[in-house]
Amino acid sequence: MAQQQSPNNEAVGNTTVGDLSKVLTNEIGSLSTPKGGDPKELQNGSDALANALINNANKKRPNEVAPDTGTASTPLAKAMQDAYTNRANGGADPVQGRTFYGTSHIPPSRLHSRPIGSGRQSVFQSFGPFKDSTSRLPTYIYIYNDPGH
Amino acid sequence: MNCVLLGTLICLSCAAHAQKRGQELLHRAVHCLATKNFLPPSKAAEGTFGYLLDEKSYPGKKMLYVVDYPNPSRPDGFVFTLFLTDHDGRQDFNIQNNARFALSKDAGEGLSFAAPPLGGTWTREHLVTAIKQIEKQPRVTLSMKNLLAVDSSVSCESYTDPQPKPATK
Repeated sequence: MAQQQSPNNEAVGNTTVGDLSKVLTNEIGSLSTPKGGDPKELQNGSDALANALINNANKKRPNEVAPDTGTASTPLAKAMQDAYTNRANGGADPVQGRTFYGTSHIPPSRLHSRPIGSGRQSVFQSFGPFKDSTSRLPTYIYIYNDPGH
Repeated sequence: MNCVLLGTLICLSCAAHAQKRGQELLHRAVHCLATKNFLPPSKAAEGTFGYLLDEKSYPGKKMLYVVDYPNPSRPDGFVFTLFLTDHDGRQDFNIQNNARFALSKDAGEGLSFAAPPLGGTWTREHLVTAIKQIEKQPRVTLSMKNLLAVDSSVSCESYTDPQPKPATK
Protein backbone atom coordinates (compact mmCIF):
# COMPACT_ATOMS: atom_id res chain seq x y z
CA MET A 1 0.00 0.00 0.00
CA ALA A 2 1.45 3.38 -1.00
CA GLN A 3 2.18 5.71 1.88
CA GLN A 4 -0.15 8.71 1.86
CA GLN A 5 1.77 11.96 1.35
CA SER A 6 1.22 14.79 3.81
CA PRO A 7 -0.74 17.67 2.22
CA ASN A 8 1.20 20.23 4.32
CA ASN A 9 2.65 21.96 1.26
CA GLU A 10 -0.65 22.12 -0.61
CA ALA A 11 -1.80 25.66 -1.31
CA VAL A 12 -5.00 27.03 0.21
CA GLY A 13 -5.51 30.54 -1.14
CA ASN A 14 -2.29 32.41 -0.40
CA THR A 15 -1.26 30.04 2.39
CA THR A 16 -0.66 26.31 2.85
CA VAL A 17 -2.18 23.47 4.82
CA GLY A 18 0.95 23.40 7.01
CA ASP A 19 0.70 27.10 7.86
CA LEU A 20 -3.04 26.79 8.55
CA SER A 21 -2.19 23.99 11.01
CA LYS A 22 -0.02 26.50 12.91
CA VAL A 23 -2.86 29.05 12.90
CA LEU A 24 -5.25 26.40 14.22
CA THR A 25 -2.75 25.51 16.97
CA ASN A 26 -2.35 29.17 17.96
CA GLU A 27 -6.14 29.59 18.08
CA ILE A 28 -7.20 26.48 20.02
CA GLY A 29 -4.00 24.67 21.02
CA SER A 30 -4.67 25.59 24.65
CA LEU A 31 -7.93 23.62 24.72
CA SER A 32 -8.29 20.04 25.92
CA THR A 33 -11.07 17.66 26.89
CA PRO A 34 -12.15 18.18 30.51
CA LYS A 35 -12.27 15.30 32.98
CA GLY A 36 -15.21 13.09 32.09
CA GLY A 37 -15.75 14.89 28.78
CA ASP A 38 -16.13 13.26 25.39
CA PRO A 39 -12.92 13.64 23.28
CA LYS A 40 -15.13 13.62 20.17
CA GLU A 41 -16.40 17.09 21.10
CA LEU A 42 -12.91 18.62 20.72
CA GLN A 43 -12.38 16.67 17.50
CA ASN A 44 -15.63 18.08 16.10
CA GLY A 45 -14.74 21.60 17.22
CA SER A 46 -11.25 21.32 15.70
CA ASP A 47 -12.73 19.99 12.46
CA ALA A 48 -15.25 22.85 12.28
CA LEU A 49 -12.54 25.44 12.94
CA ALA A 50 -10.15 23.81 10.43
CA ASN A 51 -12.86 24.07 7.77
CA ALA A 52 -13.64 27.69 8.69
CA LEU A 53 -9.92 28.50 8.30
CA ILE A 54 -9.82 26.78 4.89
CA ASN A 55 -12.93 28.73 3.80
CA ASN A 56 -11.36 31.97 5.03
CA ALA A 57 -8.05 31.34 3.27
CA ASN A 58 -9.94 30.77 0.03
CA LYS A 59 -11.72 34.15 0.29
CA LYS A 60 -10.65 36.92 -2.04
CA ARG A 61 -9.99 39.05 1.05
CA PRO A 62 -9.50 36.75 4.04
CA ASN A 63 -10.25 37.93 7.55
CA GLU A 64 -7.22 38.35 9.80
CA VAL A 65 -6.61 35.29 11.95
CA ALA A 66 -3.83 34.34 14.38
CA PRO A 67 -0.40 34.29 12.73
CA ASP A 68 1.13 31.07 11.41
CA THR A 69 4.00 31.25 13.89
CA GLY A 70 5.33 28.47 16.09
CA THR A 71 4.86 24.74 15.61
CA ALA A 72 1.61 22.93 14.88
CA SER A 73 0.49 20.42 17.48
CA THR A 74 0.17 16.84 16.22
CA PRO A 75 -3.60 16.46 16.74
CA LEU A 76 -4.40 19.88 15.25
CA ALA A 77 -2.09 19.33 12.28
CA LYS A 78 -3.97 16.06 11.69
CA ALA A 79 -7.32 17.88 12.02
CA MET A 80 -6.24 20.41 9.38
CA GLN A 81 -4.81 17.75 7.06
CA ASP A 82 -7.97 15.63 7.38
CA ALA A 83 -10.21 18.66 6.73
CA TYR A 84 -8.18 19.62 3.65
CA THR A 85 -8.10 16.06 2.27
CA ASN A 86 -11.82 15.61 2.87
CA ARG A 87 -12.64 18.84 1.02
CA ALA A 88 -10.17 18.10 -1.78
CA ASN A 89 -11.92 14.75 -2.30
CA GLY A 90 -15.31 16.45 -2.57
CA GLY A 91 -16.36 15.87 1.02
CA ALA A 92 -18.95 18.07 2.72
CA ASP A 93 -17.99 21.28 4.52
CA PRO A 94 -19.34 20.94 8.08
CA VAL A 95 -19.54 24.73 8.48
CA GLN A 96 -21.07 25.28 5.03
CA GLY A 97 -18.73 28.02 3.88
CA ARG A 98 -18.61 29.99 7.12
CA THR A 99 -15.37 31.79 7.96
CA PHE A 100 -15.94 33.51 11.31
CA TYR A 101 -15.15 31.81 14.59
CA GLY A 102 -14.36 32.63 18.18
CA THR A 103 -13.71 31.19 21.59
CA SER A 104 -15.46 32.40 24.69
CA HIS A 105 -16.00 31.54 28.33
CA ILE A 106 -19.70 32.38 27.88
CA PRO A 107 -21.76 29.17 27.55
CA PRO A 108 -23.97 28.68 24.47
CA SER A 109 -27.10 29.05 26.62
CA ARG A 110 -26.14 32.75 27.06
CA LEU A 111 -24.34 33.51 23.79
CA HIS A 112 -26.58 33.58 20.74
CA SER A 113 -24.91 36.42 18.84
CA ARG A 114 -22.19 39.07 19.06
CA PRO A 115 -22.44 42.75 18.09
CA ILE A 116 -20.96 43.91 14.79
CA GLY A 117 -21.25 47.50 13.68
CA SER A 118 -24.93 48.35 13.77
CA GLY A 119 -26.05 44.70 13.67
CA ARG A 120 -25.34 41.36 15.22
CA GLN A 121 -23.57 38.19 14.13
CA SER A 122 -25.44 35.05 15.18
CA VAL A 123 -23.97 31.75 16.34
CA PHE A 124 -24.08 28.88 13.84
CA GLN A 125 -22.51 26.14 15.96
CA SER A 126 -20.86 25.78 19.33
CA PHE A 127 -18.62 23.15 20.88
CA GLY A 128 -17.49 22.56 24.44
CA PRO A 129 -16.95 23.11 27.28
CA PHE A 130 -13.20 22.57 27.09
CA LYS A 131 -10.39 22.90 29.61
CA ASP A 132 -8.25 25.91 28.71
CA SER A 133 -4.59 26.06 29.79
CA THR A 134 -4.69 29.89 29.51
CA SER A 135 -7.66 30.31 31.84
CA ARG A 136 -9.28 28.77 34.87
CA LEU A 137 -12.67 29.13 33.15
CA PRO A 138 -14.14 26.60 30.71
CA THR A 139 -13.91 27.70 27.07
CA TYR A 140 -16.25 27.08 24.16
CA ILE A 141 -15.57 27.19 20.42
CA TYR A 142 -18.09 29.15 18.35
CA ILE A 143 -18.66 29.24 14.60
CA TYR A 144 -20.52 32.42 13.62
CA ASN A 145 -22.72 33.14 10.65
CA ASP A 146 -21.35 35.68 8.20
CA PRO A 147 -22.43 39.30 8.83
CA GLY A 148 -25.81 39.98 7.30
CA HIS A 149 -27.15 36.45 7.82
CA MET B 1 26.78 69.28 30.19
CA ASN B 2 25.63 70.79 26.90
CA CYS B 3 25.55 67.32 25.34
CA VAL B 4 23.30 66.03 28.16
CA LEU B 5 20.94 68.99 27.69
CA LEU B 6 20.89 68.52 23.92
CA GLY B 7 20.24 64.77 24.33
CA THR B 8 17.37 65.45 26.72
CA LEU B 9 15.83 67.95 24.31
CA ILE B 10 16.10 65.46 21.43
CA CYS B 11 14.48 62.74 23.54
CA LEU B 12 11.63 65.06 24.54
CA SER B 13 11.16 66.14 20.94
CA CYS B 14 11.05 62.51 19.74
CA ALA B 15 8.55 61.56 22.45
CA ALA B 16 6.33 64.52 21.56
CA HIS B 17 6.52 63.60 17.87
CA ALA B 18 5.64 59.96 18.59
CA GLN B 19 2.71 61.05 20.76
CA LYS B 20 1.42 63.39 18.03
CA ARG B 21 1.75 60.65 15.41
CA GLY B 22 -0.05 58.20 17.71
CA GLN B 23 -2.93 60.60 18.31
CA GLU B 24 -3.24 61.20 14.55
CA LEU B 25 -3.50 57.44 14.04
CA LEU B 26 -6.10 57.24 16.81
CA HIS B 27 -8.14 60.08 15.29
CA ARG B 28 -8.15 58.35 11.91
CA ALA B 29 -8.98 54.98 13.45
CA VAL B 30 -11.90 56.44 15.44
CA HIS B 31 -13.09 58.16 12.26
CA CYS B 32 -13.23 54.73 10.58
CA LEU B 33 -14.96 53.13 13.58
CA ALA B 34 -17.61 55.88 13.41
CA THR B 35 -17.93 55.59 9.62
CA LYS B 36 -18.49 51.84 9.88
CA ASN B 37 -20.98 52.22 12.77
CA PHE B 38 -18.83 50.39 15.30
CA LEU B 39 -19.02 53.07 18.00
CA PRO B 40 -21.94 52.79 20.41
CA PRO B 41 -24.59 55.50 19.94
CA SER B 42 -23.77 58.57 22.04
CA LYS B 43 -24.81 62.20 22.21
CA ALA B 44 -21.61 63.20 24.02
CA ALA B 45 -19.59 65.97 22.37
CA GLU B 46 -16.35 64.23 23.30
CA GLY B 47 -15.22 60.64 23.42
CA THR B 48 -12.57 59.06 25.62
CA PHE B 49 -10.20 56.60 24.01
CA GLY B 50 -6.99 54.68 24.50
CA TYR B 51 -4.78 53.04 21.91
CA LEU B 52 -1.80 50.80 21.37
CA LEU B 53 0.21 50.34 18.19
CA ASP B 54 1.46 46.76 17.79
CA GLU B 55 4.09 46.11 15.12
CA LYS B 56 5.33 42.82 16.58
CA SER B 57 2.46 40.33 16.89
CA TYR B 58 1.91 39.92 13.15
CA PRO B 59 5.25 39.79 11.32
CA GLY B 60 5.33 42.55 8.69
CA LYS B 61 1.97 44.02 9.70
CA LYS B 62 0.89 47.05 11.76
CA MET B 63 -2.04 46.65 14.12
CA LEU B 64 -3.76 49.28 16.20
CA TYR B 65 -5.80 48.43 19.28
CA VAL B 66 -8.35 51.11 20.16
CA VAL B 67 -10.40 51.22 23.35
CA ASP B 68 -13.52 53.36 23.60
CA TYR B 69 -14.58 54.25 27.14
CA PRO B 70 -18.26 55.32 26.86
CA ASN B 71 -18.27 56.17 30.56
CA PRO B 72 -14.70 57.02 31.65
CA SER B 73 -15.56 56.51 35.32
CA ARG B 74 -16.59 52.89 34.73
CA PRO B 75 -14.11 50.02 34.29
CA ASP B 76 -15.53 48.80 31.00
CA GLY B 77 -15.33 49.66 27.36
CA PHE B 78 -15.23 48.55 23.76
CA VAL B 79 -12.05 47.29 22.16
CA PHE B 80 -11.31 47.21 18.44
CA THR B 81 -8.48 45.82 16.33
CA LEU B 82 -7.55 47.64 13.13
CA PHE B 83 -4.88 46.66 10.62
CA LEU B 84 -3.00 49.54 9.02
CA THR B 85 -1.68 49.53 5.48
CA ASP B 86 0.12 52.35 3.70
CA HIS B 87 0.07 52.30 -0.06
CA ASP B 88 0.33 54.97 -2.77
CA GLY B 89 0.24 57.74 -0.17
CA ARG B 90 -3.02 56.40 1.28
CA GLN B 91 -3.55 54.92 4.71
CA ASP B 92 -6.04 52.08 4.99
CA PHE B 93 -7.65 51.15 8.32
CA ASN B 94 -9.19 47.70 8.26
CA ILE B 95 -11.41 46.90 11.27
CA GLN B 96 -10.90 43.21 11.99
CA ASN B 97 -12.21 42.65 15.48
CA ASN B 98 -14.42 44.15 18.18
CA ALA B 99 -15.52 43.19 21.65
CA ARG B 100 -16.97 44.65 24.82
CA PHE B 101 -15.01 44.11 28.01
CA ALA B 102 -15.26 44.81 31.72
CA LEU B 103 -12.25 44.99 33.99
CA SER B 104 -12.72 42.82 37.04
CA LYS B 105 -10.34 41.38 39.59
CA ASP B 106 -12.69 38.40 39.91
CA ALA B 107 -12.43 37.51 36.23
CA GLY B 108 -9.82 34.90 35.34
CA GLU B 109 -7.68 37.20 33.20
CA GLY B 110 -8.39 40.42 35.08
CA LEU B 111 -11.16 41.23 32.65
CA SER B 112 -14.09 39.53 31.02
CA PHE B 113 -15.66 39.93 27.60
CA ALA B 114 -19.38 40.69 27.81
CA ALA B 115 -19.47 40.57 24.01
CA PRO B 116 -16.73 38.21 22.83
CA PRO B 117 -14.17 39.00 20.15
CA LEU B 118 -13.64 36.94 17.04
CA GLY B 119 -10.69 34.56 17.05
CA GLY B 120 -9.30 31.93 19.33
CA THR B 121 -7.25 31.95 22.50
CA TRP B 122 -4.22 33.57 20.81
CA THR B 123 -6.35 36.50 19.70
CA ARG B 124 -8.10 36.75 23.08
CA GLU B 125 -4.82 36.71 25.01
CA HIS B 126 -3.39 39.47 22.79
CA LEU B 127 -6.53 41.57 23.26
CA VAL B 128 -6.36 41.14 27.04
CA THR B 129 -2.68 42.14 27.08
CA ALA B 130 -3.37 45.17 24.86
CA ILE B 131 -6.29 46.37 27.00
CA LYS B 132 -4.18 46.07 30.16
CA GLN B 133 -1.36 48.07 28.55
CA ILE B 134 -3.81 50.73 27.32
CA GLU B 135 -5.22 50.94 30.86
CA LYS B 136 -1.78 52.05 32.11
CA GLN B 137 -1.56 54.90 29.59
CA PRO B 138 -3.19 58.32 29.69
CA ARG B 139 -6.57 58.42 27.96
CA VAL B 140 -7.17 60.66 24.94
CA THR B 141 -10.22 62.87 24.55
CA LEU B 142 -11.44 63.46 21.00
CA SER B 143 -14.13 65.82 19.80
CA MET B 144 -16.85 63.70 18.22
CA LYS B 145 -17.90 66.65 16.03
CA ASN B 146 -14.61 66.68 14.15
CA LEU B 147 -14.50 62.95 13.58
CA LEU B 148 -15.64 63.14 10.00
CA ALA B 149 -13.05 65.81 9.25
CA VAL B 150 -10.34 63.42 8.18
CA ASP B 151 -8.27 63.94 5.07
CA SER B 152 -9.14 61.99 1.97
CA SER B 153 -5.95 59.92 2.13
CA VAL B 154 -7.62 57.72 4.74
CA SER B 155 -9.75 54.77 3.66
CA CYS B 156 -11.82 52.56 5.94
CA GLU B 157 -12.62 48.88 5.63
CA SER B 158 -14.26 46.39 7.92
CA TYR B 159 -14.79 42.66 8.15
CA THR B 160 -18.50 43.45 7.97
CA ASP B 161 -18.14 44.88 4.44
CA PRO B 162 -19.77 42.80 1.70
CA GLN B 163 -17.21 40.34 0.35
CA PRO B 164 -16.14 40.70 -3.27
CA LYS B 165 -17.56 37.85 -5.34
CA PRO B 166 -14.98 35.20 -6.29
CA ALA B 167 -13.67 35.58 -9.83
CA THR B 168 -15.42 33.24 -12.25
CA LYS B 169 -13.14 31.02 -14.28
